[in-house]
Amino acid sequence: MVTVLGETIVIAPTTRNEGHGKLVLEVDDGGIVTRGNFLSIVTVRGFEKFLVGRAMEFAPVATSRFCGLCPPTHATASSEAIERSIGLNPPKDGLLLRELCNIGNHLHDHPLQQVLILPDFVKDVEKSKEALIRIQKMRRIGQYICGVTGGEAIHSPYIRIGGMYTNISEAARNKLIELLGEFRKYHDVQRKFMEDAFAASDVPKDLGVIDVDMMATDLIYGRSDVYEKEYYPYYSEMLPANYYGKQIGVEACTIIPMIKGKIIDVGPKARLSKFRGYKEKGSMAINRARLEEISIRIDRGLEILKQLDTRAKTLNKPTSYGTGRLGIGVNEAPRGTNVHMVRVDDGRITYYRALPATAWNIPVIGKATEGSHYKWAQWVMRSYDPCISCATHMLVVNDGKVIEERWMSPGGVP
Amino acid sequence: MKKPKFAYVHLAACSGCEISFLDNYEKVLDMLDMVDLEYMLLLKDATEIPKVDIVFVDGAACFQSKEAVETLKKARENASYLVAWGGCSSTATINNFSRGGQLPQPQHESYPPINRLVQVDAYVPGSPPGPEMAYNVIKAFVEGDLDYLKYLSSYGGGFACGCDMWKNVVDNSLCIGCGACAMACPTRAITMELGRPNVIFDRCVKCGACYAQCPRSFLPTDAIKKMMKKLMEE
Repeated sequence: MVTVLGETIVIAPTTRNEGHGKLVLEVDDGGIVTRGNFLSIVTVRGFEKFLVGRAMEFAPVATSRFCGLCPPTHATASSEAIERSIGLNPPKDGLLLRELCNIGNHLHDHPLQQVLILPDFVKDVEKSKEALIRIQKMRRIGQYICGVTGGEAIHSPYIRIGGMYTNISEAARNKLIELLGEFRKYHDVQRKFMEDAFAASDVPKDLGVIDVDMMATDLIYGRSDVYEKEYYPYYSEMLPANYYGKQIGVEACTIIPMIKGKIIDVGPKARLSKFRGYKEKGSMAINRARLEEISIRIDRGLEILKQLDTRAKTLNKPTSYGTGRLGIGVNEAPRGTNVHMVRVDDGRITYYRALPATAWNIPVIGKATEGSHYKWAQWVMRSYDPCISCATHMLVVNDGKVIEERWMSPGGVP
Repeated sequence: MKKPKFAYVHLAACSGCEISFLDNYEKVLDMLDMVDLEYMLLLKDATEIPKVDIVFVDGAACFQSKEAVETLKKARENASYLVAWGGCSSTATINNFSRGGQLPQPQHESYPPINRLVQVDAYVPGSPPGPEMAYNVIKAFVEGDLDYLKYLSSYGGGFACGCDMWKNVVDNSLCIGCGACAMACPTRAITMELGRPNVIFDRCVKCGACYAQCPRSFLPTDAIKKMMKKLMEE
C-alpha cells in the first residue's frame, strides 16, 4: 500500500520480498527521493536471549530457524562460532560437505530471487510461465543437494558442531555430479533469458548507485578469520531510533550495524567486487552479479564433489566444552556476510549474537533508493533480495561508536 | 465450478514454510490452477487480505504487537477455512522459547500458538511440513475430501513437545515401536532405543511433528483405505 503524507511516501508492507518491510521516503516536487529509509517490521523473536543458558547443541538447530530461505548459513556460522569458542576443528571432508550444503542452498535461493523480480521485467504471461518452470527445476536441484548433504532441504539437521553428522554415499556423489550438470543446462538458458530481460527494461542506468563501502570475506563460503581481522575491530552499531530519527525509527525492529562508523554493503556485488574485480554499480549490477554467482557455485560444487572422500569421517567430537571465550563464525550467505558470535562455558551458551546479511543491508537499501523516483524504490529493494526475518535479531553493544582499534591476540578474540 | 480463492498470510516466522510451499516445484503451477491466489506477499503485489475461501497462516502472532494480532484476526474474519500451516502457527515451535528482552523491541516476548487467538480449522505441524502437504491440503479442500481433512482438524494444535510421545503414547501402552516419530523429527531429536522413542531435548524445537505422525495418536482409516484404492487403480 502506498500512502502519501505531505512530502513523505510510505510503502508498507513492501511486496515480493521475504518478511515484512517498510519504505519511508522523503521526496521532492518531482517525486525524486531525497531521503530513503527502509525498515523491518517483523516482530523480534529474541533468539539471542533465549539461547542463553541452553546447551550449545541447540544453537545450530535454533538459529537455522532464523530463516527458511537460507537455513544452512545460520547453522554453519553458528557451528563455526561454537567450534572456535571451544577450540574444535572439523575434519577436512566435513568442511567440504558443509560447503557443498551451503552451495546447494545458494543454488535454490539465488534463482528464487528471479521468481520475485520476474513480474518487474517480464510482462509476457507465457514466457514468464516457462521461466518459472525453469527456475523451479533449478531450485529442485539446489534443494536436493542441500537435503542430501544436510539431511533436510530446509533447516538441515546434519550441520553439527564439529562437522557434518554423516558423509554421503558414493552413489549420492555420482547423482549430485549428474544433477549439477543438469542444473547448468537450465541456468545457461535462464541466465540469457534474464540478461535479455534486464537489457530490454527501462530501469534508469544510475538506479541504486551509491557510495558505500562493501564487505565480503570470501567469494563463496566465508572466512571467520578474515572478518575477525579486517572488520571486527571496527565494528559498531546504532539503535534505529537514533539512526532513522525518533519518528520513523520507533517501530523498526533491527539494529543498524556499522564498520568504521559507516553502514556497509554486503552481497553478491560486494563479493564479486572484492574477489573478481567486478566494477559495475547500482541495483542492476546486483541482479547481474547474482546470475554470475550461480555459475561460480556450479563450478565449485563440482570441484568439491571431485575432491570429497565419501569414506572419510566428517565429524569430530568436542574434547573441551568451553571456558567462555568469544568465538566468531562467519559464513557468506546468499545475501552477504553472516556473522554469529558466541561464548560457550561448560557446554552452555552464555552469550549469543547474530548479524545476518540483511541486517547490514537494511540501511543500505534505504540509502540506495535516494536520487531516483519513488516508483523505483521497490525495484532497488528487491535487487538486494532482503530476507527480513533473518535480520531481526539484534542487541546493542556500542551505540554508534567504533570499538577501539586493536590487534588480535594469537589465540583469537579474547 | 468457480475456483476457490486462496490467501497466504505470513506472521513472525522464518519463511521456511513458505519455501516448503514453493518446493512443490513445477506442481506449484498446478496448485495455482486449483485455486486463485489472491494474497501472498512473497509472490503478489496485493497488500490487503481479501475475502477468501481458504487461508494458510504461517508463523505466530506476537501478543505485544497490535499489528500482528490484528493481521491474524483479519485473516480469520476474511476466510471461511483457516489452516495453521507449519509449526509456528500450529504449536508455536521455536517461538515457544521466546522470552523477550531483546533490543530494539524488548517488549516482544510471547508468541503463542494461533489457536489461542482465533479458531483454527486444520493444523499442519512440522518445522517445516513436507511440501506435498500443501498440495494435499489444497487438493482435499478443492475436492471437498473431508476424510483427509478430518485427520488435520482433529489434531488439537497448541503447545507440543517430544514428551507428548511418552505421555500420550508410550505411557498408555500404545507404542508399537514403528519409528515414525523419529523419521518425522525435523531436527533428528528422536532416536529409537529398545523399540521406544528417546527424545534428545537439547535438539527438540517443540514443533509437534512426532506426535502428529504417530499412527497411534490418530489412525485415519477411511482416508488410508481411499488412498490405497486409488493407488491400486493407478
